[in-house]
Amino acid sequence: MSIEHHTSNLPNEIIEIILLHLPIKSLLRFKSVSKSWNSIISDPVFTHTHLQFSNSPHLFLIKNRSFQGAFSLLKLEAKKFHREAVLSGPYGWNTVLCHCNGVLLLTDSYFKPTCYALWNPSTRTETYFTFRYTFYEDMNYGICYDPAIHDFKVVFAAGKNYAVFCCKTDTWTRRVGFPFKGTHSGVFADGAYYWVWRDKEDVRHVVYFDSRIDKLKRLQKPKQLTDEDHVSVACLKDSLCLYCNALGDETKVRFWIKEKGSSFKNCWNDWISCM
Amino acid sequence: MAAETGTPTTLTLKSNDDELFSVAESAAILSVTIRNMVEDGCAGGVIPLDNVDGKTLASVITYMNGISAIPADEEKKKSYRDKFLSDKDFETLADMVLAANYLNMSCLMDAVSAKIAQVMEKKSVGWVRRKFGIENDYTPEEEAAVKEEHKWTFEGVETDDDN
Repeated sequence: MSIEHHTSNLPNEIIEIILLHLPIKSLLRFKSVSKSWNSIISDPVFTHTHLQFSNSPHLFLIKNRSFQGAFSLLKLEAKKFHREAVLSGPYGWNTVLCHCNGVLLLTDSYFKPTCYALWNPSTRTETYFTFRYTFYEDMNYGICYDPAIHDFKVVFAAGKNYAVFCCKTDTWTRRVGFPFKGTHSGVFADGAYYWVWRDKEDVRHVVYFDSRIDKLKRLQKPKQLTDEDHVSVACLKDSLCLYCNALGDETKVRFWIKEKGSSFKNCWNDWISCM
Repeated sequence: MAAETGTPTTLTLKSNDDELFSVAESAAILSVTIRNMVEDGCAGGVIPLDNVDGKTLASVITYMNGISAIPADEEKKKSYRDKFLSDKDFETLADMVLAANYLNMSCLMDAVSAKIAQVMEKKSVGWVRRKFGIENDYTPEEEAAVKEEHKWTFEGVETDDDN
């Protein structure tokens, strides 16, 4: 066609609003439309807004049992799961150590891993890096999106040592923290990564990674919790949730929801008890 | 503001191509732009809407009347919006998104931009350029590089039919 019926040119702020409604696959394709579209779509603030956008469908990633190293990407729409794609992780790795905002930390083997990949199944992109220290104790992992740099930081913690890898700058920071034992999976919630760790006396502590200062810190537990309580962490509607079964009676559960925001003091106002 | 009781107030809206439309104030104030004019007392005579043409304004008023007739039931409102937008072509949707933005009608803005995204979702890069009137400012090498980087996103793209 030689003559096109051109629509009135939409200003960039309206184009941006329209693009927020698109799935990631279309967005990545439309980076080819023009340089200005590419810069709208590549803007970290746009990416973050798109992630928070409530209209985007919920995606789930599960290990595919039929193929070694493959994952199924499921989309939840209208209360039904649809399989979007079967994806192979980088190098076929399928040991998932932790995740944050849909980005997974993968490794080659669960025992003594040295090579790691951050994989985003939605954009089909990955970054590789190698752990450069020798930590002898069991490793704990965490991953945190740092809004100040619009990129991820990965935490490796073992015994009293921990190291932080900054993806943006490709640099490591090593620190000495407080001693703890064992491996514990954590959770990313409301801007920070949280774990429950046991010290030498088996007392459980809620520990979090503060990406603003690249340090691990202890979070004061709710006053109703004793040192003996077996507390766990979860993420509920992007808030940190602590929950704890009553000793000897798993039918009784108590929940605490951390107040939203970056304050880590006196943040336990609400709690629910299911008896 | 009009009183809750008594005769309903009617406003007269004027498009940029000088068409006049009568609309109940209760429906028109879905537009924050119009509501502000009413509250500031500038709605006595004719309200000029310099950025909206008659065809688009007629459509927006149909929407205003339709949606305000539905009681507070989000499900019903949503299905009205879906039905209202279902037969609109891309050019009409583009005019409506501009009008919704100018009139500051967040519910229409949301629905129309979601509808445009739905229409675009599986379209080609060329289709988007034509419909949005965008000039390709990449060199052939640059364009090939961007496409290569996201090769998988070009699978399952609809062939252009320009609808």
